[in-house]
Amino acid sequence: MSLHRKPIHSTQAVLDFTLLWGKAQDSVRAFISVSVPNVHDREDVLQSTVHYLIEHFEEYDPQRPFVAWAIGVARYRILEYRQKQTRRGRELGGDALQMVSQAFMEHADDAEPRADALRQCLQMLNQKQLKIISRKYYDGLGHEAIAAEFDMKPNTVSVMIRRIRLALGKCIEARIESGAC
Amino acid sequence: METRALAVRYLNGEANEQEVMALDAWVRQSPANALLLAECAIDEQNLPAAAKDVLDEIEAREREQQITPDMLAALLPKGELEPVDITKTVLAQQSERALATQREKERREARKREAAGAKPPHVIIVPRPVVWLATAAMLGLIAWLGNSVFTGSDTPDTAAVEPAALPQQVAEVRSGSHAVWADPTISTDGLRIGEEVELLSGVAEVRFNQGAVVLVQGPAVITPTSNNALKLYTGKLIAEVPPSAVGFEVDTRFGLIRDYGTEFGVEVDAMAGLHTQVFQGEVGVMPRDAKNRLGPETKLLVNEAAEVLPGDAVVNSEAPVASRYVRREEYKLLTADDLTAADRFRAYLYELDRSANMIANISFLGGEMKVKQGPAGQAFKAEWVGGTIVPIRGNAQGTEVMRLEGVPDQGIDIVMPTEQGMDKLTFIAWARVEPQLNRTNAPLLHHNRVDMPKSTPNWQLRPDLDQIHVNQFSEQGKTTTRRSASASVDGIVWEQWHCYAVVIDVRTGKCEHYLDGRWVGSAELGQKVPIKLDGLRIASTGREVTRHPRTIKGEIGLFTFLNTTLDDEGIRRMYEESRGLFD
Repeated sequence: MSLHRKPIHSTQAVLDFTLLWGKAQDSVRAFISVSVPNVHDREDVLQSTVHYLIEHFEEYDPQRPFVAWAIGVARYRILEYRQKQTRRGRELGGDALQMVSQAFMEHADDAEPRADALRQCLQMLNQKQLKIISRKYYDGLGHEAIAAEFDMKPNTVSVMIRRIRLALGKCIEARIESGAC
Repeated sequence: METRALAVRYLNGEANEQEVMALDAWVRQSPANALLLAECAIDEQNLPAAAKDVLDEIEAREREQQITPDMLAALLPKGELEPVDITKTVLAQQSERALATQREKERREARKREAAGAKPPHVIIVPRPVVWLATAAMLGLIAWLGNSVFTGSDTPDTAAVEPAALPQQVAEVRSGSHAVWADPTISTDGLRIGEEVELLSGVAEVRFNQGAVVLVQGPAVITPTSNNALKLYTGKLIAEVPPSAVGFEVDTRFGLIRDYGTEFGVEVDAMAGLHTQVFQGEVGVMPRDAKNRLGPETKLLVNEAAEVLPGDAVVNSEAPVASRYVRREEYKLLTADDLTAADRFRAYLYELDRSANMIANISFLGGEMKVKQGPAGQAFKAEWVGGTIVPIRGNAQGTEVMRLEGVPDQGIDIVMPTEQGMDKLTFIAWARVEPQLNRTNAPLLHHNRVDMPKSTPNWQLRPDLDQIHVNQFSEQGKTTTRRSASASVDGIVWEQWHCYAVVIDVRTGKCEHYLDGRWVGSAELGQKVPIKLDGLRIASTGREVTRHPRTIKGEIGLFTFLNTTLDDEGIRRMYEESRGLFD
């Protein structure tokens, strides 16, 4: 990617950007993951978004939430990416994408409590469940490899992961609703 | 499928085309749905690192807790094990609680063993001062290492908790070997109130104490809520309610169905909502709104069906579909101990009726397929050893629409019709093949039609030593042509079960080949090549060169044929769902 990045002109601006991006990046990454089905392409879109944000940081209006601006930028980068695709993958359409981006913008503040709730919910799993989830999502192993490691059938691994995911989802919702995070 | 599960599959790039379309439509339904997808994406984003961190923390804590007095003695320099007034330290109090808890746990286990009449295990009694010394040594090491793991106020996980009284048993489970439960250790003696059970596949019978009998059709998740009610989270069921159980209720997130002495079906799907259909008698349906309040009751009579769409809270009338639910007769066929081929075939027809894209789904398991030679010059017939039949089905017009044929040493031909102009096909077959001397070139599976003009193409799927071949035969006038597509495959082990699959798009001639759920290559059907054939009969037996009958001997376990194209994930799922039968 050959973007000509203009420097952010002051040290203060660098600090501001770093701080704002640090808070927004999880939401932006998550939004890109919804919109770009190919895992490798997601990183390209993210890079392109960050480059744009840095280049145009001076245009950012501090009265507006940074995350909304960043997601708006990401949305245009995603549309550009989609136009370049010769073969469209299995992805959400434009209307759905618009609604999801709106949801991200309006609920950006929810990202941090969700992350806290997730950690607390993970602590409620037993060690084997945690290991399986870690192998699947951190190490990126397939169900067959996990099954071999834990002496299980791949189908059982698949079912177990699905149930853990559903349980985690319910647990996070319960914690958010009860204000436990 | 649960919406969250679908969202997770999508975010992991595992959703197929139909699922993505369904998700897209669902997101567009409301901003709340878009928000749920956004939240899933945030969780997905955070999960890998969070899971690893939490796991690392727990493993580190565990390693520290595994330090024994012996290890301690080896680690500490002599003379540093000074007596510590443990009664004055927080650490000591916690340690004491842990010991007390452990002793209580041991006492409880001992009581349980006594109650069960078992002998207590061999116990080594350690003098109390030794325990204190070891404890002190442990504390010394912890303090020495500057560890803060035990400084929290949480009591250990092993804290004594008196077991609560178990909820009442309200139903018993009866299921045949074909039913697969998520928890294979499920107790069939009694389902208790509030006990959530998940049936992954197959059909199971749940008998409630008050008399209602429910046929649950997997995949489904249910929870009994009383001795005359249950909650259906997802999946399908049929409820048969005798007079003693009138008032039986099936509760779902989309509405509640109350029986008035009847037989009815209920299906719950996160995306499609609630469907119910009455086979006998009468039921009342009450939709739920977004605040979980029940709406007014709508009565349904025999042969009436209704649905409640997600977020709608309105009961809409629907046309009933007779084969939508597994009813008693089909259940009996599925669970019969001595299933005859005729039973199997009848059960198969039910399944076929229910599956829009499925042309054939035939299991040959549970009986050995044997090939029997017919009269000279005629077709050969297949039969199941132990008594049987060549299954031939007549449709409403009396036309033969499906036939199984076996040819000695040449595997089994499966002959059935397709729609005219069908341009998307998927074959999936579990087969075990073995070469016959140097003869390795006959079809194992074959598809053609018998009630349509012979110009309609017919198909052949043929595993070879290291290739899978697909042939399309067409007959026009006196000329029969063949188009072939072959993919090299690494990993076929003769005489072992493999799942062969091929997805064909007839318009482009593109064939995608799969072995054991994984994509192994694609190939395009080549040009039409005229071949010498004596009509379709010869084509269907694969004896393309009659002077050199090239053969494969084999056994088919399961054959599925769809009039649609599955993607990689679809093939993988079909493979995963059936592989348990062939492990």
